[in-house]
Amino acid sequence: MKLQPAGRRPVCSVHVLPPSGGEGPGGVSGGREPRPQTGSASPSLWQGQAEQLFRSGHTNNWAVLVCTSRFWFNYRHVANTLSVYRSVKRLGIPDSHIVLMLADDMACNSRNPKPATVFSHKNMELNVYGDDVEVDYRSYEVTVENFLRVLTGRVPPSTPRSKRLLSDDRSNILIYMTGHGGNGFLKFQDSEEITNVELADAFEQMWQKRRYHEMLFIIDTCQGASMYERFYSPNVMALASSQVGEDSLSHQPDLAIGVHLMDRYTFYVLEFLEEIHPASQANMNDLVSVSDRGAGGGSGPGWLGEARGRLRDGSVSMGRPGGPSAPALFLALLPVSGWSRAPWSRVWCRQLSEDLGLGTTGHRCGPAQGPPCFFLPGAPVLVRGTWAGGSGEPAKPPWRGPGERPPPCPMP
Amino acid sequence: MAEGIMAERGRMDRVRGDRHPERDRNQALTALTMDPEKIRGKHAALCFATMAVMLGLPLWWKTTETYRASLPYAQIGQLDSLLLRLRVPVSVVFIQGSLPIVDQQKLPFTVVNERDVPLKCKMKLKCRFQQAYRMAGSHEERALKMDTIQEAEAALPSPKEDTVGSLNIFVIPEKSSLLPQDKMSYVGPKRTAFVRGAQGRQALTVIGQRVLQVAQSMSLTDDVLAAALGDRLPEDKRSDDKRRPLKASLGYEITFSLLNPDPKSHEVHWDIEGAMESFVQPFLSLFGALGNFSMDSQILYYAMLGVTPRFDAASSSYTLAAHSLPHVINPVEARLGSSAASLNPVINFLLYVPERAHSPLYIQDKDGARVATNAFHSPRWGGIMVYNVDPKAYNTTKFPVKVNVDMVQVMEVFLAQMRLLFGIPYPQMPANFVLAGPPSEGLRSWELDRLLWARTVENLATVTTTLTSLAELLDKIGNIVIKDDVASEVYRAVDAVHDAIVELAAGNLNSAFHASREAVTSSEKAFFDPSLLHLLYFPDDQKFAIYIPLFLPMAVPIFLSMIKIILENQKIRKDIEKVD
Repeated sequence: MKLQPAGRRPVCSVHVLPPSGGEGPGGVSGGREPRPQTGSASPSLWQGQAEQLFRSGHTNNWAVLVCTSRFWFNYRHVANTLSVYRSVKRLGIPDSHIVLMLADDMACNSRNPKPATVFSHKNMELNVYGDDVEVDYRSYEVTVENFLRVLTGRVPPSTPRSKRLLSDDRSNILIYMTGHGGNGFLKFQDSEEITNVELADAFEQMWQKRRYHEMLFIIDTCQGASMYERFYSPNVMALASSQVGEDSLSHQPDLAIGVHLMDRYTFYVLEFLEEIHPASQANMNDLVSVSDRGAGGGSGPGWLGEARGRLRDGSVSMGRPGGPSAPALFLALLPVSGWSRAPWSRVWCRQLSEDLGLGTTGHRCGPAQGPPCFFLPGAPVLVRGTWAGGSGEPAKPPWRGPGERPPPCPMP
Repeated sequence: MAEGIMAERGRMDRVRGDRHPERDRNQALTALTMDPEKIRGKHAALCFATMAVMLGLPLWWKTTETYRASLPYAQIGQLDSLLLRLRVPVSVVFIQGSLPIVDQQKLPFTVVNERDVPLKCKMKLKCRFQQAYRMAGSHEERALKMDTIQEAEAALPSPKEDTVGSLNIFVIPEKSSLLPQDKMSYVGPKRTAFVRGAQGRQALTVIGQRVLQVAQSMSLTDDVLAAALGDRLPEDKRSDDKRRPLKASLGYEITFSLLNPDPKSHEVHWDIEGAMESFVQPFLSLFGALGNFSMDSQILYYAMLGVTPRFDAASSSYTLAAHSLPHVINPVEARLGSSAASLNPVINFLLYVPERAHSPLYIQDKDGARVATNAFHSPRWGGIMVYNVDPKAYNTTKFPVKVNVDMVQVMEVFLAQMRLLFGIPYPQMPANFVLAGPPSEGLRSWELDRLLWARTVENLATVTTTLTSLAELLDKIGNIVIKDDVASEVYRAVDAVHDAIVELAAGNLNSAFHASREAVTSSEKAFFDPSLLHLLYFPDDQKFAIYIPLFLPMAVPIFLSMIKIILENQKIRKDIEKVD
């Protein structure tokens, strides 16, 4: 599946006249008398051109973006979903083709120090909430029932058009889900769950009614790979942020806002999507390898792809049985400025939150598997003057290297 | 003495001891069998168990099962391997001199030509051309003595029953001058065709073949049917014809938009209402059977294309290359407002007047040549045409320049695109055919027939898939409730399918199409009924977790007392045996 900017429609037949002259495609309407046409004008010339543009087989794109959490400490899930929404819109899917389900309680939350904004990047660089977010299902409407109704199309007759998934057999659909999950289920707003069997059945019903041509299912939760274990419909590709038994980790906190802003997997996926432009030739392999490389330690994210009806578990067929071990991975790929991607930031957040007395803010820190951990006062909010972003050169920690403990960071 | 007494006592004891167990046993037996309390207890336990098993279990089972109105599962199962016979009634009329006398005397008779349509599909299709041969009447003779073919066609009496789906083929003498010398057949715009006759011994066979060829090219070809069943056949990447047409739907919404990105330079007027009435309405009225059409129009200002055109110094004009065309639509689509329209599929036709800075703007095809109509269309979405303002108009100092759009030119292109989007491609005729241009409405009658055939077949295939998948779903997921109205819709759909099959076999295309549409409506209503959504997926461990706290406290005493009764009965029986 080619990862093109989503709105790229195959364009058909630019109306070149058939080579043998005679009436063009516009030989109709009053005013022109019909002329007998020699039958040899086979418009194979323009048909051949149209064929070359028709490589992918789909004619429209849809996206269903679901954030299944509410409450302030799940800020990062809303930021994830809104960032993906922004990317998807930038790449060409219009609002009329996006179904966005959010518990829209971040921007106007009384605990939000910057009201009417939702940030997805440290330093509050990017406000993903903006002025033109079109949330289709908000607040308590984000339920398992509504989600399944959207997917299977069994909505009540009074549902407006923007809340429906009006896809057909030539639609490619992106389904992105994020939130808290477990082995085989995904939690919806603290009161209900959706199981992987229900999801697989819903996809099968979509396939029976030919409501999609190809589907890309991305899930960013703990133990996300369990959600795609039961898929049995063809033409579905699934990416998950973590294997069964693993947790998905968040990327970075922001001390001014006080919560974690984004999840790691989504962060790297979005970084990849930022580089997609109209002439890009990236494909799904690139996306899979990027997310494999960048996101959390351990065996990392998994993917499930289907080629011509065969289900393949990515970890087996790609020759990456769980991925290389975290230390090798990160030490090999650690760019100088990318120290924020280090696995030890997991430990940092735990220590930091303890130091600041924030307690566990819902962020799960897995066991440290990386190199010997050391405290990294990474938040540039604290150390803005010293090294982060000061002179524009890549930020380098002021101490020597692993093993040396830096001075503890001052309280904000 | 003491020994004696002791021995006596011992003997007595022994005797007593021997008799004792028996007495004890008897006492126990009587206690068991005669004690009213124990008996009452046993009966009570037995009653509880009986009630629980006889009354309780069935009641629980009945009250916890999901309500399912009965569905015609057998008939739905049969739908999977449907056999569709598509009959095309053809009337073949021979003019004097087109046939040897010997064969003329054999008329009138009927020739039936049936063949299988080879498709890799579970649904089997048979095409049946029913050709009724007869001699021409006097009116027809007179009409066909005209000089040109157009006059001949105009003079022909309209057939008594010009039914949808039928064809009229006239066989003219071999040396007739109506057709150009090297052409064998003429295909007219309104279900009539002319074929050259033959002389000689095998005249009828030769003519029969020609007639069949004409009939097939005018009505059902394998391509048409393959396009209709497009999504049920294995994917064929090369054929864009299968992907272009819109799916069958109950109605369509057509939107005409005028994009004016530079209102400071251009003041654009277009008489869209007049154009719609004179061009689009007649065209769509032919499609009346296909669905409801609603049309609207809008003008958008400051709507740019997403692509910057490149300047071509050679012709001092701006060009849009073919590979950048897919990116043109996206930024505009958000502003088209198609999401506010109805639930029907929307077809957009855009007319773009380029900005003064980018005038004139031409679209290039893959080879770099300019496209003559300056337009392109996107499958299942609509079309875009670029309208260049005459550069001489810029010689004035009074801006904005008034631009009156030439609606004829624009509507030609839009109607041609509409034809393609509805799935009526440019007809492919063999080399020795003369194809008449379409009539003023823009659609030949037999092209419409072809569309109706395709839609009917597509509808029947859709109904089959819907109903069979509904049956499978009900089989697999035991918790779905089927209400009475859903069941009645399913029955109606199945009946309509049978009606459609019968009508197709009889050759009545119109009624077959309507029946198939009814079947699709009913089956979609049944499948997408909101009440079908199952939320109650309970894995087995959850079922146990729910029922155990309810049933276990009740079941344990009953069970244990049953065991006790059984054990006691066993003991009694053993004792009785021993006693006996």
